[in-house]
Amino acid sequence: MQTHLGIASVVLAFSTGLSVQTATACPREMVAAAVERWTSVFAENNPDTITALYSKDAVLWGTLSPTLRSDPAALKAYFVGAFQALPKATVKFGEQLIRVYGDTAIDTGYYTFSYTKDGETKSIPARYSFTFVKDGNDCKIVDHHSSAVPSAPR
Amino acid sequence: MRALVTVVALLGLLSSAANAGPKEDALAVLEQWTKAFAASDVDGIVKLYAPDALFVGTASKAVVVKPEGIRSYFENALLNNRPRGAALNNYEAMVVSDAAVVITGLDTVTGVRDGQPFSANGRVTFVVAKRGSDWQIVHFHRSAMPI
Repeated sequence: MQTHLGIASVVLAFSTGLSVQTATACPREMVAAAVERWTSVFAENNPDTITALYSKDAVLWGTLSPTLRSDPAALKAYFVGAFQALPKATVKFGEQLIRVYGDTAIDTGYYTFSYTKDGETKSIPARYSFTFVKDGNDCKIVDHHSSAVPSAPR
Repeated sequence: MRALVTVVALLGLLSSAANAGPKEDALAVLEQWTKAFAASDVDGIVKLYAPDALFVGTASKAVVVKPEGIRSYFENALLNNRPRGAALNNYEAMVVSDAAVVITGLDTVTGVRDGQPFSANGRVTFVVAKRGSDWQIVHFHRSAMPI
């Protein structure tokens, strides 16, 4: 009987282990605050501080990137290149569409990057999607897809 | 002895439940998406999206927020330049909770335009979530490769 109890508790431990990865929700206010934070950190043009806003297993389709970045070193490398290509980069968000689906939150819409090159201010209008999950007390980005607004319909 | 058999059977059940987890359920939705795309089945592809899905198509100038908008997007995309195809070449599937999976990667869309076959690589992100008993696409963003 004792052995059976032992097996039963192993089974119990195994089945609870399966649901451990369930995260708590990221409410709309926290999503909006996280995007505000992303905006101000982006303007610092510091690859380390911007990368810290992403979860460790986050994936990124950068606006200028032909390859998917799927670990912190690759994400940071993208931002190193982006901040070099776009000096004094800032970003301004248009209308944000925020939806919370259970414990996953999505913020999608438009933003415009501005930068200064050879004394000239230039801009890149783009479309973005952020997927957030709760990581401790923070809402962290697990997926970010950014793409230039298409020039002509195809 | 019978109790032991029951425990073994229970373990068997648990391991098969672990095999058919969120990732497999989400990938099954993508498999249906790919089939519907190749069959130019507009109804079949639209029904895979949640009624409140947010949608950014390759050529979208504005975020599509209504099922009718998703339908007209695919009417344009699937009913022209047939036969069509979309193959997800390499991707990351990330289980972000037991009810949400993010699948993001590179795909190749093919078709025939004016008798000439064409193909275009794209960057694609799907967020697939369990809504009630069904897994549905709640977010989609596809974009052309940057020049």
